[in-house]
Amino acid sequence: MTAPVDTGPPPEGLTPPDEPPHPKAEATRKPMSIWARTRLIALFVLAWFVIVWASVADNPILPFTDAALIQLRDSQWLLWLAGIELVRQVHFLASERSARYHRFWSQRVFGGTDRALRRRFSDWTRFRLARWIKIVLFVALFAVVAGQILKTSPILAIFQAPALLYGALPMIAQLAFAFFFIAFQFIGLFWLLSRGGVDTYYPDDITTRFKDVWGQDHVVDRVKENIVFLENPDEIEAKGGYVPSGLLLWGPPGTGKTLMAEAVAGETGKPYVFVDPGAFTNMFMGVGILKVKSLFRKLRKLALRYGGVIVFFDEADALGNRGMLAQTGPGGGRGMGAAAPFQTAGCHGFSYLSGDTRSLLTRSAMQEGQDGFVMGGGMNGGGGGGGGTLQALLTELSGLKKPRGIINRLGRRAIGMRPKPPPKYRILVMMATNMPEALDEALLRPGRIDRIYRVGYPSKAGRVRTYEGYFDKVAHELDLEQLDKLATITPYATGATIKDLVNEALIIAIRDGREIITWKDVMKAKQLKDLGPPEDVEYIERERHAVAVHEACHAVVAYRTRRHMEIDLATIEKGSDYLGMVASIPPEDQFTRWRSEFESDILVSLASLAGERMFFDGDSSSGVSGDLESATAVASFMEGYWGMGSTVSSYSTARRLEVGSPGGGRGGPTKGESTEKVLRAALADRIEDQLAELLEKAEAILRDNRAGVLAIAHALETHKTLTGDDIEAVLDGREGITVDGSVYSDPQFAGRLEEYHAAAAGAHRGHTSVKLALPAGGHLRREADAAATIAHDPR
Amino acid sequence: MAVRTEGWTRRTATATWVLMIATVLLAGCAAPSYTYVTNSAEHTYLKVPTSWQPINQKELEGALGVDPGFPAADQGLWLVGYDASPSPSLSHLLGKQAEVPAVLAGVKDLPMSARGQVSLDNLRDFFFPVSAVGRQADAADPTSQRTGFQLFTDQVLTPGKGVHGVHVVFRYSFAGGLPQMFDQTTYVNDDASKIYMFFVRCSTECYTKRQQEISTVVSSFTVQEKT
Repeated sequence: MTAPVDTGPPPEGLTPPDEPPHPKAEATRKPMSIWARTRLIALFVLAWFVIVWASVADNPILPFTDAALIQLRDSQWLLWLAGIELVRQVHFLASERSARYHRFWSQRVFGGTDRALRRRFSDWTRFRLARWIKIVLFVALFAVVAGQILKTSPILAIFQAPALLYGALPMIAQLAFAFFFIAFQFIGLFWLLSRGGVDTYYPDDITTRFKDVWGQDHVVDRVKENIVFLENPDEIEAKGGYVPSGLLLWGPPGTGKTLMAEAVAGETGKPYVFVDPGAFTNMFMGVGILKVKSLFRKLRKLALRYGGVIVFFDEADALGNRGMLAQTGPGGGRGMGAAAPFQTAGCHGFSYLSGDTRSLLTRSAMQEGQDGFVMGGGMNGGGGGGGGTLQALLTELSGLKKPRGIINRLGRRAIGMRPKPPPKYRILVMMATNMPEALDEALLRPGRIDRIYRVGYPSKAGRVRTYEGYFDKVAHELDLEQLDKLATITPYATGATIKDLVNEALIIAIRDGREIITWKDVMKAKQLKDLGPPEDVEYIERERHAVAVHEACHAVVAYRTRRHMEIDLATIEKGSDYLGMVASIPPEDQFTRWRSEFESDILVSLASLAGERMFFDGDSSSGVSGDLESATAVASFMEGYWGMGSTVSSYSTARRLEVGSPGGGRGGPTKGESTEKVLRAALADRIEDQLAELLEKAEAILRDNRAGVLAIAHALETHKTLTGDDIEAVLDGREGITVDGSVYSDPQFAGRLEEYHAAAAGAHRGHTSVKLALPAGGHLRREADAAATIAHDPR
Repeated sequence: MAVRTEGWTRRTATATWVLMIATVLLAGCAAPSYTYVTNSAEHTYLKVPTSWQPINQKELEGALGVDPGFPAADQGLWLVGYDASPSPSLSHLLGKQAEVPAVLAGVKDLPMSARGQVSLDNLRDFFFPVSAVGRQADAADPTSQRTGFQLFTDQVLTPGKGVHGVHVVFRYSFAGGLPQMFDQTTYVNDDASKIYMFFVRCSTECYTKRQQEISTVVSSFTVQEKT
């Protein structure tokens, strides 16, 4: 089979590799732009005008018109040149119009020369030659014009021109000095302002090591990996990959992000640049940009000198962002588990809830309470950095691969060479924040920040290790079992809180005149940290009883229904923002949450209302407001977001897409359907239904455990604060840490408790004092002895 | 619309070309009406009508006693003469009488010894005795052939930068010839190192007739020290 003979026009498109593009043979000359047509004539005319101007400037009695007329005669060579150029342009114009004319000139007259030139010189050489010829012609024209003005020969004029320039130098220098004098004030000011905020540490300056970071082994391993790649980039680059250059550590405060960064600085053999969070907060616009630029100049220098550098932006949220994306729904966002009781003087905060529930409630409280509050609020529009700082940072982060240097970029290009690509700057950017939502999306894209690690609450093993670490530094008598238990009952402890707890325990021990920390000191310290200092307020008896019953209801329902949490402590000592409290902790680390757990959370919340109604004949206090808020919020999320209610669809999506909620929350009932039913099915009613159902369930549990509630209330009234063990002891009728629960299994004692409760409830109704004394009992034998000793102590 | 715009641009471009060519051609036909006599180095400028012809430089320099062995510039003298006659002659400038105007302009370096003696009267008497003292001396000279002196104008000029001088218009008859009008301007610079000289002359009749032409030439004589 033979190839078909190509008779058609040549194919359009890209030429094959290694073949220069073929100019398309056109019938007429390609039309030129007006500028291309007129520029040479304009140059000649301009040169002529320069001569006229020079002669006018030289002679005070010479008017412009006469000067022009004289130069028409004296410098007519320029006009001749212009005329020749004009003829050339007319020739081109004709070539553009007439194909025959064009063919005649381009093929018959100049065709041979053109082909010979193409044969002899490459395109590039011809381009360079043409450029040189243009430069020489331009210089020649300049010389002739200058010669005419200076009334000397063109050659001499070329040499006189620098002399003239030299003559003008003092003036130029004066102007330059004036300029710099003015500019220098600003340059100096900005230079001074753009200092600071950046500290450089060299290897061995920092003694922190990875082994000092406890309980974050998984993150440490990953960070170590980055260091390995920084130290030995060939390992990955030889295989076609690239070194991850950005690292974001985020997580709750105190979990060791900064410590980890310090450890990186301590472990690596590279310099470590610490960027102060306040470095980019400046009085003047633009100083932040200068700082970013000077920071990266420094980083590049260090990277080249030491083969790598690590830069750490602490509290990276200070960099701000350029506006928020839409906030994600609950569970979608990366929550920070800070417990924040937003109620004032309610029954208690929501510390009996699990951490996730707490953070959820925190967030919803923030969204409700403060209009327009967003995580990292106030950062919009440039944030802490001020105009352009963040943008400058983004540019610098992704601009490390551009050619740099004036000589490299401009100098080399001027002599026709391509600028050298920059060397590989090994810069590892580390950032830490506890508000990742406040960071700009663009900052977090791969290429800038390649890896994002959550530095969460330490695992139990990590907490044990951390407790061990801090307790090793002080004298104590805690055994391993106790440390393990301590780690268990402090599930959200971070490095910082653990350090603080140990220190607090030490202070308590020292205040007691001891040098060795005991388990009791630790518990006291924990209580102090959890609850704050008690306010030393004595309730009147009937109110004390009411609060005790309230907390006892929480405790009993929690004990009976909740398996994912253990009661940590219960107290009726009034704190700064609560009257009493039942605090729970998860017995083990758990990462999923289940419907049954949320239901039991709600049951625990509603227990107070159910209990108050039950024990005070339908009366109830405003102290349940916080409980109801928590219960309603959790129930709403269950119903609307998590598919844990009677419907499946997600309320947030339904709202976003405006499709209405199941049951026809939008629009009226259809024909034949009862209006009541439609309305009941709307979201709010479904929530109310669920809450009502759970309230009934809570009531049932309390009814079944009436004796237990009164027993715990009595124990609370007696001891003010009970540990989880104590509560279990009371309900199981055994001996606990501070309580002897055996007395509560005595039916006679239970009867006395009922009597006391009846008296207290009567006093509550009549606003009188309680006629009966609190039944004595429940004290541990050794505690009772100690109490007796203290009673005899004259102090 | 686009086609119309393109057509319009094309027409404008063509019109511009035609206009440019026409301007150049017309300008080529025109000629300046004055000859500009310039000595940039000495900052001395003068214009004369183009119909005036330059007087032979050699003759002029010879008549004024310049050593022909060296260029005049080397002897600290710059001289130029123009004559309104179609056949320029030195006699119109320096002769007994002239029917047409003739102009002499020049710059002369003064030797150090002479610099202290330059007074305004010296400047007045630079070519012919004009000051009272000069005329007294002239009257006392039995060989003098100058008669019929009359002074029309005597102004002191201070154009600035230390340059100062006098402008005098006077009449003289030479050896019984027709009375000749002289319009003379002489300057000395600040340190009296240079004297700038200029005069136009012709007969009284001619002077009256060609007053406008002569006054243009006189007023064009400019000395402009740069520093």
